[in-house]
Amino acid sequence: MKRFRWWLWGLIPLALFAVLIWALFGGLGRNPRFIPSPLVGKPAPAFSLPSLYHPDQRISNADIRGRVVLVNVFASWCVACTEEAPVLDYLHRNGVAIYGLDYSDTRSAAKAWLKRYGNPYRAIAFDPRGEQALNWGIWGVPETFVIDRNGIIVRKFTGIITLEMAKTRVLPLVHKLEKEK
Amino acid sequence: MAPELGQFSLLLALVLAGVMAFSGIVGPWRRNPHLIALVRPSAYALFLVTAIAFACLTWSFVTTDLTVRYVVENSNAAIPLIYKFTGVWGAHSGSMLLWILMISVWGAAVAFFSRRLPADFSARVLGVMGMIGLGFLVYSAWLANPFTRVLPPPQSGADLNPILQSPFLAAHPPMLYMGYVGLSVAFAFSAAALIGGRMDTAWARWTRPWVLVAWMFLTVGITVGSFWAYFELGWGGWWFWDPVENASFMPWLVATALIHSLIVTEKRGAFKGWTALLALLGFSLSLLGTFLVRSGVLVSAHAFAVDPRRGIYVLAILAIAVGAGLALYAWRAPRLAGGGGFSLFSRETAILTMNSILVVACAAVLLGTIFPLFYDVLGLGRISVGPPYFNRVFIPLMVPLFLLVGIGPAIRWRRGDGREAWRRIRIPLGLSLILGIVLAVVAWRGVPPVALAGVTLSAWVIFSAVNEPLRRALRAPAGQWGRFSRGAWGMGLAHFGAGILILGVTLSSTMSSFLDVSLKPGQTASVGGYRFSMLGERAVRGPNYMGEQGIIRISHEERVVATLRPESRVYKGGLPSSESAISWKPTRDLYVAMGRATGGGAWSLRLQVRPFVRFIWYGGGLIALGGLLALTDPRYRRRREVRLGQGVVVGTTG
Repeated sequence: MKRFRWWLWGLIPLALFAVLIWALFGGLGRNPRFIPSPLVGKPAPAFSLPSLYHPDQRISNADIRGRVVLVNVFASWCVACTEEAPVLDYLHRNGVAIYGLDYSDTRSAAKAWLKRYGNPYRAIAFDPRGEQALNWGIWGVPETFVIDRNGIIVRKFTGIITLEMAKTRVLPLVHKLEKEK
Repeated sequence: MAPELGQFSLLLALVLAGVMAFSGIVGPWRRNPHLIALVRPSAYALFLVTAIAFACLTWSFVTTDLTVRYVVENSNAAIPLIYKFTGVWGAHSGSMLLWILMISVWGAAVAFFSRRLPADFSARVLGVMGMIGLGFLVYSAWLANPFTRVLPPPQSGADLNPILQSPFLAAHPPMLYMGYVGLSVAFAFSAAALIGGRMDTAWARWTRPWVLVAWMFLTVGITVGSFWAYFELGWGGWWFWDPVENASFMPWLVATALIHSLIVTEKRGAFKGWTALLALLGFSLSLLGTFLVRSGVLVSAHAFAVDPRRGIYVLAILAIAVGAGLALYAWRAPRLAGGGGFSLFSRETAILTMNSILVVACAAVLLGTIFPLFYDVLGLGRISVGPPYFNRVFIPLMVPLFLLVGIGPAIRWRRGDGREAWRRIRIPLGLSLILGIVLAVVAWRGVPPVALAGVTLSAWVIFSAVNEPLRRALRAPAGQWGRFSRGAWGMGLAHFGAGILILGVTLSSTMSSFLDVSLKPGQTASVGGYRFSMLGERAVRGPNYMGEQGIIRISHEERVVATLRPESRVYKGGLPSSESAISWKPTRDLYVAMGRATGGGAWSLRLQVRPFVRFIWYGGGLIALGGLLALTDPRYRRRREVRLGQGVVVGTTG
């Protein structure tokens, strides 16, 4: 009996490892190239957050439904976001609807930052404690989600969007989605 | 010419690793002395040819041989010489070659130092290492060949990623790889003992120095990597819980547990199965880390370009190596039971507890790293894990661990004596509590409680690390300090370093202040009691970049403390990079990173005052030094009485 239990203990690491390998292989087989984000192809997470400029108004999924939008996660403490700002401005000037998610920030710092680097956003949801981090799967800032008319996340960009990416990937994708029903 | 020689050496290495694996495993099995005699020379030869292959790739980089695809992708003629060297392992194929070089270095070292061990045992160890080397050599020659030519050659090479152009990154990957791959020695020792069905205190004594060396390299590698992130990424953060960082941290946690459980196996003959498992797990996690980084299944700042075949192949190596190791464990571990018994209150229990905490911590990091993947594969939906998860899970686990650091060494082996243990810990315990209370009442009103708790905890760790050597020194007659073994001194130093590290983490994360501003020449901003004045700017030009340099004078209470010159560069390949500037004293850093021009002659700047942040790296360095000190313990060099004929080993006690 004792010997039998020892056998079981010895097998536990192997069993756990088998599960791990299965998952890793699944991860490879599912999308052999890359898993940009587990959220791609899924509806945008439900959210309802106060607006940055109008604390009494709330911004939620209803605001972004019905049109192709970019949701850009940014913060005033994010050095990389200052580099991305002119690119978002370029997209904005080309008619892309961009919504901001101000992440782990303070209102005054965010407003000062927007004044300095420009505000390409239609509306900005303010998330001071980073509550949406888990729902949106935010690893780092900036991150940008492309969401279609039906509220489905089509693409996620981790890190800054460069001007080249904006021209060759983001704009064509937005135009393509806008033509779809 | 060099690429062909490299290519040839790589193929020769493949054959030699095959010979090493075959003779090392089949030789002892068939009891064939000719095969066994072949193992050691093939390990030396493998090291020689991989070193030649690596030298060839390095030469191609130094001469910027644009007919080599890997050079074209990662280097150009304008890069400074030192970064041509680091460029060798700056991307995928070259870092795999570095990995292979490391395993051959470790193999040759094991071959050299294991001459006194039983021949069949050392042959099996080298055989296992040969198999691992073979796996990666096939991979390198087939899927990630760094010597592939590109004809006709292009005009100029691409640029090495500018954030990789840092002197700290020159040291970081080799150190980390030495650590990663060094754990393969422990893996091979464990597998060889399981194959041979013999694991005793002598085995533990042979294994310990190898684990210590690998663990030291890992410690240094992680510390340097953390400093690189702090210095180069421009944010002033020093740990991001990025999958790549986690990949190096998980083996470190397990190796730390292994070092401690090996002590128990050596001194008391207990925990054999557990020690064998940890030895297998350490290198398994290194392999897992390689897979995670190289396959691109996880999103990471460090992730490399991805070829799906590569992911599948590395996964296959992982599955075979780790699967075989764990299957061996499941088969043989039941025989390893036994060893000295111990009561509930004993050093053994303390070490088992700290081992469990470290393994749970490692499991938590592993879960956080791969959970998004699990969820997706199971079709359960999505979840993402970031620093909030890690901090919430990891920090509470560290508190009992560091409480234990002071208590464990005070308890006797086998059966602890509560009163004696109390006598040994009461002074450091009392001192750290008094310090905490005094700070709370007098000095730091308004300081967050977590900072006070952290300082008290680090004081406890530091005082208890110093206490034991001091106690003995005071009691010992003059001139007899040596009675306290080097191993014990090393332990004290490493634990002291851990205390310094906690102090650095606590103080720098609770007392730092920073400000993002945009300053024109002549303007001033104040942060944390320091005044940062932008005096001016000038254009700078490096060998492979152009940029602007800001001149920032920092003063404190009307005295000029430092003048810093951060740069905002654009590299030849078009990649921007912010070169931060730091003025430091041991107890505080003044940190300026320069971003973009914001119009009207103003520049965006991030100004930071970070007290005690350097204690984090001092702590890491001291921990590694503690390992080095323990390694010099004469116990590991003592001659062992070995009777080869029967393969029976009688180790000297001590």
